[in-house]
Amino acid sequence: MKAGTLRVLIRLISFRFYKEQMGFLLMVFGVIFSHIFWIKPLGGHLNHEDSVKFHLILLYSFASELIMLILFLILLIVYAWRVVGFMERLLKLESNQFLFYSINALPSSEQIRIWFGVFTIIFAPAILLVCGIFYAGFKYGELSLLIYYPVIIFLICYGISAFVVRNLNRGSNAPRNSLLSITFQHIKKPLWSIPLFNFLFHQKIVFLLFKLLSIVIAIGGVFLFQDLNGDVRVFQLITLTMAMINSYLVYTMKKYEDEFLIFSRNFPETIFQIWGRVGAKLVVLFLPELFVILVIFPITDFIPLSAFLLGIGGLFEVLLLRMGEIQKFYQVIFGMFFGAILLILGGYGWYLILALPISIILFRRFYYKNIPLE
Amino acid sequence: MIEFLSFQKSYHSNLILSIPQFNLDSGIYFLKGPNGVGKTTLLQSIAGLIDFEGKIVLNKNIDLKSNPVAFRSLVNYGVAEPKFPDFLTGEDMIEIFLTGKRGKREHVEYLISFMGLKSFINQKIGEYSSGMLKKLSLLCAFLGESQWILLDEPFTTLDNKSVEDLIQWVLHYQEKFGSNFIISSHQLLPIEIQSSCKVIAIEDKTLNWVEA
Repeated sequence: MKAGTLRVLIRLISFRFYKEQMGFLLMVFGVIFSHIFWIKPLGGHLNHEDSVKFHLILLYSFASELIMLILFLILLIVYAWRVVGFMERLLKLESNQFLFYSINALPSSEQIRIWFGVFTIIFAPAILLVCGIFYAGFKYGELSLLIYYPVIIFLICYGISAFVVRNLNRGSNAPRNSLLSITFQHIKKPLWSIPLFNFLFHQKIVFLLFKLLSIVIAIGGVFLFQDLNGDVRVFQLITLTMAMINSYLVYTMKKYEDEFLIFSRNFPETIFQIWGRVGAKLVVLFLPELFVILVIFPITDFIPLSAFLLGIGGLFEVLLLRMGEIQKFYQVIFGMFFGAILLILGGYGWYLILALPISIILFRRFYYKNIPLE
Repeated sequence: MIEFLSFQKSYHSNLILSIPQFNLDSGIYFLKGPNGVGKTTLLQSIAGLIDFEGKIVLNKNIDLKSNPVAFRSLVNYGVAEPKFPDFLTGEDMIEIFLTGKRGKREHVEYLISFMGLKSFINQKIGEYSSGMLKKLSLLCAFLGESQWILLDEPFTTLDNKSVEDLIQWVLHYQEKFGSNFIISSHQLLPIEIQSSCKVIAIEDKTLNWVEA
């Protein structure tokens, strides 16, 4: 039973993971392997035997550094995150619902062993790497630090297996009872905050990546244009870019509202209350960017740049009320982006602060004429 | 009274509903019609969830478009297939509706036990069955000081006992608070409520009276 089930799951899940995630795998492990195994030491002038020896020493030298162990851990956490996302998607598929009433008939310990087998196959590239490290360690050094590498893989595979077993035994629709959800369970969640909590509960990685990108671009922009230090156009361009990066998050929130919070359009709210809700949501969404503006730009520009950022966010909200689909939305905001760049380069950037009152006026006009996003 | 004046609703220039003039006085209305005829569209228009052409006027002087706040405070809506954020609890949803509809808490405990939600109310919505979710959505539709409660397919996914309870609750609410109801369904109404209902139907893209 166990061997048969394992075979089915490896075919259904492990192989599918490799098929679907090939690009990601190449990116993560391809980079490592290419640097360790395929570089040609000393310009390729070594013979085969010396070349193998050199690679193994190189591998051992890398692996025996604490920083490399930490990097390996981070890499495996990212990889594990990807695997968990893949599993969640897979378990939602209609064709895989049989998993909820077949494997979970087995005792939990046996279920964990089966899933451990499945994830061992998925983590095979990392295991292969650790095997190489151990071989090199046996041959050229000692194993004291190297012992942590298989321990990390074991713990991660075991952790994901336990996670999947717990989810399968709770039912397909049950949300995860993660530390995060327990932490925020008793916090009052007003209506405006729900799309933001949705990021926290369901789209953390997407949210963090966009925020990271936004902040990296801001800091990178400051370094790139440091010769133009003090030129307000640089601050405006960076703020504009941060706003544009957040357009996807604003779109995601609107789509979520159209699907899960549509009932709120029946609430007897004044237009000021509705503005308040949207304003609070945008301020919290842009908090990291507002902090960056406060820290890296002159303090005197904080208020106008914040108004600039929130005004563009407000325009996204208005556009989303009328666009109905993401393609149209992006066509318009790309046009807006280039128009705004021209204004900024022409020295008229501060006129973009008008986006804030314009968005408020247009929002009032279009709020009740909302076209839900498809 | 709800009054429709030159009401029209189209999707992508495809006309779905056209009601030149129609009045609904106080009472319980059964809105019938097969799937896809526009029942949900009509109820969503009255609830202010979607835009439309023309006018919907409440009590002769509260126009949905020119007086949206007053109108919405008097009209509640219970959706056919509720979708709520799965990380919220039933209690969170009740709190959101109480705030949004400016409702009082006094009836909530009674409604919770009446709907059989007591042991689920602090659980996350993602853990609810479709029947429990429907009950929560119906409960939320009763919160606030509304004059009209629009219930879209309220009996689907409910068990027989819950259907009977809901009917009793609708009749009780109308008698005690004078609330009016529009209940849509593509099936026949349960016999217990048929005698208390006036029947309307969507036929040929418009609203018509039907002899009970």
